[in-house]
Amino acid sequence: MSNDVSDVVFNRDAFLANFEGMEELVTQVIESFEENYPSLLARVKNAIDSSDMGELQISAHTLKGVVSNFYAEHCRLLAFELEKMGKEKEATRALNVFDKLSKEAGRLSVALRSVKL
Amino acid sequence: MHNKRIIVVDDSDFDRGLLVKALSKKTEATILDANSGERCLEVIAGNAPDLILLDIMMPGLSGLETLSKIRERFTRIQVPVLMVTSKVDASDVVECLKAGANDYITKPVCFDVAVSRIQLHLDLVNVAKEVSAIREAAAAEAVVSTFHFEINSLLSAAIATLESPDLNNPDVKEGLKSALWKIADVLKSINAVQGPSLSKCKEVADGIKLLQLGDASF
Repeated sequence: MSNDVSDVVFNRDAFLANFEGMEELVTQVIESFEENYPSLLARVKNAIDSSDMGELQISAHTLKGVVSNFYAEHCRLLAFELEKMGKEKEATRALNVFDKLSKEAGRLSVALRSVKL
Repeated sequence: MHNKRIIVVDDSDFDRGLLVKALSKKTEATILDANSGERCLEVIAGNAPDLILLDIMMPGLSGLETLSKIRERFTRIQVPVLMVTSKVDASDVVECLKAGANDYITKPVCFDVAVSRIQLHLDLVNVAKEVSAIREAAAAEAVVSTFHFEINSLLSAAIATLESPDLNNPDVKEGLKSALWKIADVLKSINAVQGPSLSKCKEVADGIKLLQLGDASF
């Protein structure tokens, strides 16, 4: 296991192990994340702002699925928390959690830059 | 997986794109994709795929609803469906398996596991088809054995009539002639059965039953 700081944000070894034999995809996947995560976050934020609980559940679920590909556990758990809020239609703390998620996704994006092959 | 068609159904462009790319790299299958349950149903309406990877949580038609629609047209053996889900959705998985899913894989998708599961289910389909063909062949063989028995009975009766003192009786003679022709017709029908076609065998077997009834007075 590497002790790189990025391991705090995501599990680098687990992520790379999944791409064994198709390393050329690693850079593509990271670039796709960098390109797409702001709009995924915006979708979650819009759902919170408009109190659309169904959309909050789906959009947070989508973001959770995306970050889980990088084994970014903290980020995944925050997205999951928002997904549950949407499902349970109880979003009083949603903005607070969203802020944490937004920061964590940013950290993930920065950490992933060190992995590009 | 050469010549196999697999559809990846997921509303997340990122997850769907990643799975399509990984499976395209790791298998020789043709990987198609659909961004919704509705689109999946459109794609399979034209041409049944060999396997479907179906995300459970999607807006519009959910994975479960899409699965139910798929199962209205295709059995588990005709088109295996593997649900794709996050690891916390255990109750959803159980519901999908009850509704006709063959299996599930969890997100984050481990591509090697996904490929192994896909291969396993494609192999199971082949085995199921082979077992079905063997059963049908065995059933056909049983029907053919019955034919042999019935024909032998008719022939024995016909031969016995040849030795009858009443052979000069025109009615008996005509009856014998008719029975021999019917036997010849049955033999022709049996020869016409190409391969283990159970329905054709049953058709012929029904013919033999009619022949027996017709010859009851003979």
